[in-house]
Amino acid sequence: MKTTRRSFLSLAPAGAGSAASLHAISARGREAWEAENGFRGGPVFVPPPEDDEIRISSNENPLGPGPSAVAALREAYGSIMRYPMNAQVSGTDLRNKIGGMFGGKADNVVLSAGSGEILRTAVRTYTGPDRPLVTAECSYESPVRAARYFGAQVKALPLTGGLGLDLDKMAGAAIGAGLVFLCNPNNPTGTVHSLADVTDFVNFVKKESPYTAILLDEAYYDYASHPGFDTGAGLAMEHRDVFVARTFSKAFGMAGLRVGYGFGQAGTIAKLAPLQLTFGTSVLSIAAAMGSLEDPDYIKKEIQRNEAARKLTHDFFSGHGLDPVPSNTNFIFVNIGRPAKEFREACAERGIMVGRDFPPYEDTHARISIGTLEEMQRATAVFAEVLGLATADNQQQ
Amino acid sequence: MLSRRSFLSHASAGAAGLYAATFVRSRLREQYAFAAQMGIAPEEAINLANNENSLGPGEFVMDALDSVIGPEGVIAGRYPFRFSGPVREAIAEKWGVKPENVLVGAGSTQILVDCTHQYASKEKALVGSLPTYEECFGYANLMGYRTKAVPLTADFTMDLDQTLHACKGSGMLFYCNPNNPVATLVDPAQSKDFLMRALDVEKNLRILVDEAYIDYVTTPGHETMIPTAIENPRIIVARTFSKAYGMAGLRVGYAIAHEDTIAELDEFHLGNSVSTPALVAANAALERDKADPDYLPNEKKRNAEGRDFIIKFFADRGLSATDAQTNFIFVDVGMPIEQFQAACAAEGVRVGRPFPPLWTRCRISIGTMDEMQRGAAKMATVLDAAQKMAA
Repeated sequence: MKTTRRSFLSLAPAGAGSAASLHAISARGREAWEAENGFRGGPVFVPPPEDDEIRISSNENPLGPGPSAVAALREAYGSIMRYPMNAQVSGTDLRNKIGGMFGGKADNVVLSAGSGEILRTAVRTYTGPDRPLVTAECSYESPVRAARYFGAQVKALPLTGGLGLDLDKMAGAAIGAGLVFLCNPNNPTGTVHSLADVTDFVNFVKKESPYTAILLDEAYYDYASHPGFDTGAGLAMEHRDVFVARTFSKAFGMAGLRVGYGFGQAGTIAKLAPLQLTFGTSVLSIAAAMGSLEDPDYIKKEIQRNEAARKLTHDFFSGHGLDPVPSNTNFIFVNIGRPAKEFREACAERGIMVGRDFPPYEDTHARISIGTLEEMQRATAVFAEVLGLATADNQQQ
Repeated sequence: MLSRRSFLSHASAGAAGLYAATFVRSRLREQYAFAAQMGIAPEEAINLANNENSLGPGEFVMDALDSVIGPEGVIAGRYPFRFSGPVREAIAEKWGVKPENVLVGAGSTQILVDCTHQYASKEKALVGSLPTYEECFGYANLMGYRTKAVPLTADFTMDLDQTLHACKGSGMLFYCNPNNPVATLVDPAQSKDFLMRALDVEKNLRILVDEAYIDYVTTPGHETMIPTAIENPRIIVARTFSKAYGMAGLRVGYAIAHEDTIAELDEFHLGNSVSTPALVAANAALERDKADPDYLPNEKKRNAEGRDFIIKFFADRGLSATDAQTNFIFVDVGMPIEQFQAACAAEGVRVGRPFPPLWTRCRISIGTMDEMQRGAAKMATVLDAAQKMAA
């Protein structure tokens, strides 16, 4: 779908403003919004019309940020004209807060325009023609793209039979490498490795190859439900050039705000920070991130909400004899026994947008993000139709 | 790491320090350290240090932004993709060019780094005036690129002859016009001609024209280099929403150039770096430019009034400022800048940091008229005290 500028920014005449602005506001909360804001005169902008399309292609959080985050964002409007170091909630405030969560300080944290920026910076900092990037095939591919662009060698190790990272093979390849990219939970497969296994991995690599850096990408950390899983932040504090990347784009619902961070020893962070954009994170994003950290219960609820919708989706596929990978994320990777492209296009025709190709699994597997429970009910009905599966009702008969 | 020698290779003596690798990468980060050191609460201080626009983006933009965010901020959960294309189109429309001529970045600083990365190198120097805005030189130093810093003339304008000379064999000229921190403009009658001569002098040279402050220029005859950049693949114009548009905190700016040049910059450019609120606000501001053609001229007028006021304040005390064409002035405060800066900070006024080697010059940003009046009263106290000490 191509959105034209007109469709999201039509200039409504005064008076028509309040009606038009209702487009901007989801059905939920509309009454509260009107009560709070009354009827606004003047020009009002209209975002793209919310059509019936269900977007479960980019692992976004369908609900957006929690109330404490949105409130903080709107409270930060007054800082819009200020550079982030002058804002009422500054980048340093957020770094202090995040550092404290892991028993560190501001200098253990570097902010990032989403976690994508810090991933690229890590590749630039640690890899080169003689210092390969070690990753998996397949894993989140942005570090591989960066390595190719900047001329670094790439060693991508195949996944195990269960589509997890092959930690043994990656550890072997890590010796002499510049950087290991360990995406845990792994995108696009949704698999996870226990902290015990990750600890063994990090200890082995740092012992055998002390100058090899290790990036623990924990973008989906909050959604992981495997009992042995935990953050590698302790490992990052313990070892030089080991760091954790996190993002506010997933469970915290802020993909549109472009905020993430790296956490590690101050010396590690000091190596990464110079290549980051100068103020890559906006004052509203910083404030919203700060606000979101004030309400951990909301994130817990979001995790439960995702789990329920994920379970429905998982059960749908397994109930039809397909074999979804048990997911620790807000998406499911499932063997649909046919090319992802075919499935994707058929779903798109029915208003359901699912994930793209993930080589080398593009002929058999699809990645489906987890939307709301209602969205997944509608989506699975479409999947049943597209894949020629009996509907749930038929199944039961 | 870069040695001081390599960056100073073509700079004059006395230039030492400004572009040293030990300096932090941007004036902004550096300013933060200053603020922390001085223990100034941002809301109490009159901030005349960072060339921000105290008025912000205006009601029209704020309404638009808040409408899109909505009470629940649901849109923030989605990646900004659907907003980035429209902003690119709106910028293109404003300048009568194609979207392919536009690259949007997280502030114009991202564009400055993109250009420096692509066009300067260890062999091909970055050329710029001394001093100028540091982002390009900061990145070049970080990467160990060759740099040539050309001292200003006596009236604090770019030394065109020396710059032309420095362009020979170089990779990129950073042409900040009006120039930060000195506030001056290249003579409009000479500017375009000079750029053409620079391109002639060095066939591989690219020129990055930083027009961050162009909306504040009051010199007759001055014009944007955007049409020239569209025609000539070796010129890039950088613009920002941080100044006249009042959105420094949202981090949005852009490059305009020939589409081949934009494609080249896009190879290195970190995509998806601009947030949804920033894109929405930028789009709204461009929409307002169409609906209210007086908005920017009024902002220019407002700024010029504050600028005239503060320049006169100093002139009445016998202290001269450069011919300011920006939302800041560059003035001789008649005492060491560090001393003036610290004394002002103690009074709750934050002014610009030192710009070596101009040790008695201060950069003072233009706030609202009220801020300038209150700020001037505090600065008078500082100047009076210094005079008493001297007497």
